[in-house]
This record gives sequence, structure tokens and C-alpha cells, in this order.
Amino acid sequence: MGFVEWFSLILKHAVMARIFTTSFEFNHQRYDAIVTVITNNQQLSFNVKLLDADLHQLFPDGEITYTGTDGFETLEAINNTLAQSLVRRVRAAINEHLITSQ
Amino acid sequence: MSNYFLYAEDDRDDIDILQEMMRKHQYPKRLISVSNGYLLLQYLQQIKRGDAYPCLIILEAKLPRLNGMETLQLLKTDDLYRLIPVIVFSTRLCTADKLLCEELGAEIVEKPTTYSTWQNVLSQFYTYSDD
Repeated sequence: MGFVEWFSLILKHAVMARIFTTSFEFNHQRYDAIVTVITNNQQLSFNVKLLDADLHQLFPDGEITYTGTDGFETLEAINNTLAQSLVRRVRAAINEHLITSQ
Repeated sequence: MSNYFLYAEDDRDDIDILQEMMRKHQYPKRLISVSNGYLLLQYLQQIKRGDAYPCLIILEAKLPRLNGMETLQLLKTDDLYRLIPVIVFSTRLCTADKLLCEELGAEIVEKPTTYSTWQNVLSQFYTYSDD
């Protein structure tokens, strides 16, 4: 799902949405990302926009979207191991921003 | 009420002009500038709970890294930022950008190039403040 579709989804449904910036290290380089988190019926959905064009070969348009009830669920298998590695880095950076409740 | 405008602009001259205009007309607002949309989001993110958000965000449409229209979409996605008024500066007004701004409740204006057009735009900014 691209950002435009993602954005329409937010506008059409009464859900809570927050955005934040984060950065992470991948292949010895520092990268920036913008994360949109949507809360809908206690389910968290994440859309990650990778700003640096050299990562866009791993993810078309530099976008990663995933959903989870707590944001920490294992992603569905991705065949490209480099992409998997990138996702792990991105998710670790995102998780630092999340407030977890007991 | 917040006492500042937040301006995303990569052209230092334009920032200086706006600052100078505000000083000259003794407008009681501060101007805080950042050079792209990503830095604008970072700036908003570091504002602590209880501190004021800007009374107006001004976005140059063409910015490096994250342009004005992309930034606008993100701002209007966020539950905390979506109520902050936004004006987009564009050197060339295109229909698609106009429609998007209209849909998102933002204004799009042609970027001023003369003293009098800067004055007009500046008075427009002040309709967003409580002064």
C-alpha cells in the first residue's frame, strides 16, 4: 500500500494517527525514516517512509507497511535477506519510540 | 497562544526577507526556520507536552529530502499537528497541488517576489494569529 492509499485510509476512518521521525544504521550508514502509526481497535499499523533513495531498490518507493497488535510481531517472511535485515533495523529504531504498557 | 511561525525553506534569502519584513513592521511574532520537511517534522517532535506549537506553518512546495506537499500530507495525518494552519508557498501554482491543499484544509499561495506581494502575504499570515 503506497502513501496515498494509506493516507486515504486514515481520512476515511476515524482512527488515531501519529507521525514521528527516526534514524537507524544500516550497512555502516545512518538513514532517516518517517513513521506513521495508526491505532484502530487496539491494532497498530505502521507505515515507514525511507527518505534515502539508495534504499529504494530494496523497497519500492522506499515504503514499508506492517500491522501488528503490539507492533512487535514477526513480519511475514521476506525472501530478500538484505531487505529483512533492513526491516529489522527500521523496526528496532521504531520500537525505541513506542511506549509499552504492562 | 504560540508566538511563532515555523517556516520550511531552503533558500536563505527568502527566510531573511521574511524576517526583515516582520522586523520592519514590528510584527510581534518570531520566525523559526528549517531547511526541509523532514527537519520540520523533527522540530515539531521535540516540542514537549505543554509547550506551544507554532500558530502557523509555512511550507515551501519544493524542498529537498521531503517536499512541502509531502510534508503537508504527513502533518494532516497526525492527530496533534493536523489543526495547525498551513500555508504552502509555490512558485508555480498547479491544479493538482491546489486541489490537494483544498482537500487538506491548507492554503496555497504564489511565492512573493516583490515588496508589495510580500506585504500582502505577511498580512495573510497574521490572520492566523490571535494578535
